[in-house]
Amino acid sequence: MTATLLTVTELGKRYPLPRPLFRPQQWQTALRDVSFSLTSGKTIAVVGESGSGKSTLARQLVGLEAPSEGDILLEGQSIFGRHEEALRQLRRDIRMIFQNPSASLNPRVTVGAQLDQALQHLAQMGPRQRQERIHEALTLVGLATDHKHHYPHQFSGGQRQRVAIARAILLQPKLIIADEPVSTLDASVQAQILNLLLDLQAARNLSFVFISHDLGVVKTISDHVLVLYAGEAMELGPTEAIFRQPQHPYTRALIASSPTVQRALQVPVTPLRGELAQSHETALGCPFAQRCPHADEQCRRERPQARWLAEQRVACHKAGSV
Amino acid sequence: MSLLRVDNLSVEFPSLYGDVRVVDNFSLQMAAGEVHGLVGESGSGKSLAALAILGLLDPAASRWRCDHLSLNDKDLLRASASERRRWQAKYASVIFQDAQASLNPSFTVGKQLDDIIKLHHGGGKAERRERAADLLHQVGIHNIGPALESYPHQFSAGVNQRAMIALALACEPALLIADEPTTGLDVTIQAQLLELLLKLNSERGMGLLLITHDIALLARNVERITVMYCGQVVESGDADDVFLQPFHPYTRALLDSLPKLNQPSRRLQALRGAKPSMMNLPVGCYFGPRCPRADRDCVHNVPLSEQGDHRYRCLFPIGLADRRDGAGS
Repeated sequence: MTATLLTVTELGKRYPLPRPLFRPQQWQTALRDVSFSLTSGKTIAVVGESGSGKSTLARQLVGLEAPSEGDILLEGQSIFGRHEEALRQLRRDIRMIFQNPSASLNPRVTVGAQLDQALQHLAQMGPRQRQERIHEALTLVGLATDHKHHYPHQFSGGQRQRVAIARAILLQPKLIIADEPVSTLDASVQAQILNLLLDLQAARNLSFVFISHDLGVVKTISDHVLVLYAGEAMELGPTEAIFRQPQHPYTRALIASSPTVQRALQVPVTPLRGELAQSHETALGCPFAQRCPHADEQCRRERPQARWLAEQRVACHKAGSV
Repeated sequence: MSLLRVDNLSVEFPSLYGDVRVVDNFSLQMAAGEVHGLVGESGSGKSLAALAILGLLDPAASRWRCDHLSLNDKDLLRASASERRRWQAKYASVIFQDAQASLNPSFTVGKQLDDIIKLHHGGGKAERRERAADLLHQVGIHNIGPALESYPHQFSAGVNQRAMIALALACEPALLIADEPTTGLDVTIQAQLLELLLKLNSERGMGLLLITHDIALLARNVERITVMYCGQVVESGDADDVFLQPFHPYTRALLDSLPKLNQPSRRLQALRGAKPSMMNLPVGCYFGPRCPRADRDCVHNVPLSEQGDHRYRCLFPIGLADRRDGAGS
C-alpha cells in the first residue's frame, strides 16, 4: 500500500460579496465540503464547467489562499500556517503549471535565468549545481540545454509549456498542480505534452492534481476523477469506473457532451440545457437540480449527502435509481 | 446550385525576408445548405482563407489572388469592388471565437442588432424591434425584453455567442462562416451552440462553414471536411470517408493524437516534431519531415490527387495501393 500524499478534508471557500449599505454581509460560495486524497505517483483529475470551483481549489492547494473551512494535509502536515523553512519546503514540494505559459513566464528574462531564480530562492545550491539541475530539467522535458539562453517568445506554444513544466519539476516536487495545462495547445502538441507528463510521472513518482474540462484528456492522464459543480463535489471515483458507469447525472451529461470521434460517429448528443448558476450561501437543495433531467421536489429542497455507490462517492438523491 | 466556389486562392504577406505564402492554392466548393468543416492547427491558414473569401483581409498588409471566386452563383472576380462587397455582405456572415470581444461593449445588444437590421432591411422602429426579438428567439434567448436592453458584459460567454449568431443571422445569409465558434467554452455550452448552428442550417437551408482546430468537433456534425496543413489543403472529401478512412498521414495523425474515451493504453500517439515555420518550409511535401511514411520521393512537389470525390495531397496515401506497397512485394 502506497502512502497517502495529499489529504483534503471538507474544504470550503467563500468570498465576500460587495456589501450593500445597511444590509448584512453576503457571501459567494466557491467551494463547499470538498474531500479527497491522493497517493504518491497517482493523478487525480478535477473536472467541471467554468465557475465550478476548479481553479479556486487549485489556489488553496498551492497555499495561495487560505480556505474558509477544512484543511489540506501534505504527508500528514497541514500546508497552512507554515513559516520559514517549513514554508520553503512546501514551495519545493508543491509546484504549479498554468494554462497559459506565455503569461506565466517572464518575457524579459531568459529561460535559464528564470529557472535559476527558482533554485536560488528555494534551494541551497552553488552556481554549478544549479546549472546542472537546469540542464537536467531541460533535457527531461525534451528541450536542448542551449535553450536556456532563449527568451520565451523564441519558443512555440508547445515548447513554452515544456519550459513551464521544466520550471515545475526543477525543485523535484512531490505534487504538481496543473491547471488546464494543455487546453490552449493544438491536438498534436497536446498529445506530446500529455505523454511528457506521463513519462515524468513514471520517472519521478510524481503526483498530479490535473484540472481540465476536456474529458478525453482526463481519461488519458488520471487515475481518479473528481467532478465539481458550483463548488461542490458531485462524484468522486476511479477514472475507469467513472467513464464505464458514471453515476451522477451531471457526470453523464459532461461525458455525453464531450466531443470525441468514436462516440460522435455512433450516437447523437443531447446537450444539457441552461448554464451553471452561482450558488449562494442561502441556496437550498442540489446545486445541479435546475439543469438536471431527473430533478424532483426533493432535489430542489434537500441537499444530497455524498454516499458510496459502486466504486464512486456520489452526491445525488437519484443516482442508482435512474 | 453552388453556394461557394474558390479555386486556387493564395494569400501572401510581404515581409522583410520575402513574401510569406500563408494560404497556398486553397480550393473549396460548397453546395447550398451544406455543412462543411475546415480543420487545421494554428497557423495552417484556415482563418485567413475564410477572411479572404469574405473580403475582410487588410489590403495594405496582404495580397491575395485566386482563379475563381463565386458566392451564390455570382462571379465575384468579375464584379466591381463595391458590387463585390455588397454581395459578400448580403449573402455571407461570420462569427468569431471570442464573442465578448467581437461585440461592442459600449452598446446594448438591442442597439447592435438594430443597426444591422436597419442596414439590411430598414423599416420602422417597431418593425425592427420585432425582427430583433425574432432573431434572439431563434438563437434561444428567451427573455427578450431584458436581453435587448443588456450590454455584452452582462451576458455569459455562451449567451454572448448566441447574440453574435443573432447578429450574423440578421442579413439572412446563405452562408455562415463560424471561425472557432465554441473554442474556449465549456463542453456543455459547446454542445448547445453546435446544436443551434445545425438547427439553423436545417431550418433555413443556410450553408455553414465550420472552422476549427478540433477535428473531434466535426465528427458527425459536418457533411464534408477539408484538412489544411501549412496553408495547403492536404485532404478533403465526404466527412465519413475522411474520418473512417483518411488517406493523408497528417489527417490520420490528427485523429490518432486525440485522447479517446475508450482507449486502453495511456500513452497517446503523438506526432513527432513541430509544425515548420511558414518562412522556412521544407522542400516538397510540407508534412514530409514529420511523416512516418515519407521517403525520398517526398521532396518533390506533391499535387492534389483524386479518388472519386476524395482528394488528398500525398504520394503514399494510407490504404490505397501505392507505389511503395507495390515495390515491397
